[in-house]
Amino acid sequence: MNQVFDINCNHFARGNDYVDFIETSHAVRLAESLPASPAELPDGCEATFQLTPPLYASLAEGIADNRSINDALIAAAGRMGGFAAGVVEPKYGEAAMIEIERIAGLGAKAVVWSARAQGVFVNDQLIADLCQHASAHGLVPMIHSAPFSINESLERVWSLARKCGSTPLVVVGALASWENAQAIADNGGGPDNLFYDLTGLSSTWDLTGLVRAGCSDRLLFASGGPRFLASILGTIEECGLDPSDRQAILSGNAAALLNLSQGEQP
Amino acid sequence: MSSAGIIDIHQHYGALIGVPGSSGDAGAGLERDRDSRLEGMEHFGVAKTALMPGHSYSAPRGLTDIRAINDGLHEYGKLEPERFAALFGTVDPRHGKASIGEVERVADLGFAGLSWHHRMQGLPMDHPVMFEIVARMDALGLIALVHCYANGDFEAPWRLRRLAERFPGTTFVALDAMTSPGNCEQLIAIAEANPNVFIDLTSTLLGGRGVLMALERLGAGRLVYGSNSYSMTQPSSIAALDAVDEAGLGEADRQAILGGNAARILGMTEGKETS
Repeated sequence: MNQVFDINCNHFARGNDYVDFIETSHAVRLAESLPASPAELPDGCEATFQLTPPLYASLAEGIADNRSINDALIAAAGRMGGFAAGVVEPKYGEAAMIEIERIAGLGAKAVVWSARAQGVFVNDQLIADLCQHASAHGLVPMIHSAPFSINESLERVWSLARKCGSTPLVVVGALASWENAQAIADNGGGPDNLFYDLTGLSSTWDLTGLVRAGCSDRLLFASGGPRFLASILGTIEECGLDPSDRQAILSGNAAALLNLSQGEQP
Repeated sequence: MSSAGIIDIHQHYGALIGVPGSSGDAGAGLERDRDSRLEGMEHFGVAKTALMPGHSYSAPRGLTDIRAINDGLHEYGKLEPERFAALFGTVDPRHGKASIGEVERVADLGFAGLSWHHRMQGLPMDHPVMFEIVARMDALGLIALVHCYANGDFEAPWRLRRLAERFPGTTFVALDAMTSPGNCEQLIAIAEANPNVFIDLTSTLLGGRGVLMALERLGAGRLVYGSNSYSMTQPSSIAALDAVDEAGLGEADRQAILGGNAARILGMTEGKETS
C-alpha cells in the first residue's frame, strides 16, 4: 500500500495561474462542499491531504477575506481527517501577525505565501519576519516560486532562506521549471533549511537528477490540486526510485517536517 | 524645455513596502511632503507634475483602504493644484469587480486617470479583471499609467499590448519603459502598432541612446519625461533628464519630450505635434 502525504492539495487551481481568480465567498463555498476524500486515488494508494488556499482570491474585504478562507479550509480539513495551510497577506502588518497566531491556535499546519500574487518581493525582510513568526507558532512556511518570476524566482527564495536562518521553508512549484531543477541539483539543494514540493513536476529526469544529487530527504510529494495528483504520482513511479527514497518523498519527509504525531501520520 | 516648463508625468505620493531597497517616507505630513516635493521640482526646473500613489501599500481593510489612499492623494493634490496638475489614483486588481465603483468615484473627484504597478499589486496587467476596469475607464475618458518595469512578469510589455489593442481610445503611458534594452525595444514595437501608447523615460538605464532609438522609430511626440520621485526623497540627479541631455536633441523635440507631450496627453494645452 502506498502511503502518500499531499502537502499542497489546492482545490482552487484550474491549471492557469495567470487567469485563476476566485471571489472569496465562492472559495469558501467550495471548501465547504469538499468531499471526505478530495481526490481520486490509484488502486493501492492511501493519502492524507493538506488543503492549501487559493493563490488569487478577492481581497476587497482585506484581512476578513483571509480569515474566511482560513476558517473554511481548517473546517474542511477537520471533516476529512487532513490538514490545512492558511493564507495571510504579507503587507497587512500587525493584522497579518495576529492572523498567523489565530490559525496556529485553530490547528493549521502551515502558511502559504506567493510573493507574486501578493505584490511583494519574496526576499524582502517583511517575508523573512513573517516566516519566522509562523515557525515560532508551529506553522511551516510554504513559499511559492514561480519560474522566472521577478517577485519569487528561485534565487530570491534562496536569499529569503538565508535571511531565515534555520527556519525550515517549503518551496512550492519551483520544480515546474527544468532550469530550477538543474540549479537545485547543482547546488546540493541550495540553503539547508529548504524543502521542495513536487507541484508542477513533469519529468522523471528532473526527479532522478535531484535524488542522485542527494536531495531525496528534501523533496515532498505535492499535487498542486486533485486533478494533477495521478500525473505526479505516475512520474514518481516511473523513476524507479530506491524504496526508502520513494517513501521519504511520498510521505516520510512531510511527516517529519510537519512534526506529525503517530496518529496523524499517513 | 516646454514653453510651459518641464512636466513630470511620474511622481509618487507615498512610499513602498515589500520592496528591498525601496525609498520614500509616507509619514511626514501633507505640508512637509509638499514643501519637499516643490523644492525638488524647483531644483530640476519642473513646472508641473502628475501624481500617483505608491503601489505597494497595506490594505488590511480592503477596498476601504484603497479609497483612503485615493482620498489622501486628492487632499494632497488640493494643496498645490497648479503644480500638482494631474492626479492618478489606483484600484487594487486583487479586489476584483468591487473596484469598478472606485473607478467611477475617482473620475467624479476629477482624477485624470488610474495607475498601476502590477508586480506589486498581485495580478497580471492583462487579467480579465483589468479588462473590466479599463473598459470602465475607457467609457469615462480616463488615462492609464501602467508600469512596465523590465522582467516584471505581471507587467510585461505584451500584456500592455493586449489592453492597448482592446481599448484604442484609451491613452496608456508605459512607465519605466527603458529599464532594459529588450524591454524598451518591445515597448517601442507596441507603440509603433498602437498610437494610444506613450513611452515614459523614467528610471531609464539606456541613457541618450534609448531616447534616440525611440525617437527614430516613434518620433518625439510619443515620449514623456518622468522622475520617479517618492515622498520626501531628494535625488541628486534624474536619469531621464540626463538621458535627454545626452541625446543632444533639437529644441522642438526636447520641448515635446520634457513637457509638450505630457501637456497634450493631460489636456493642459492644445500642444503641437513634433517630428
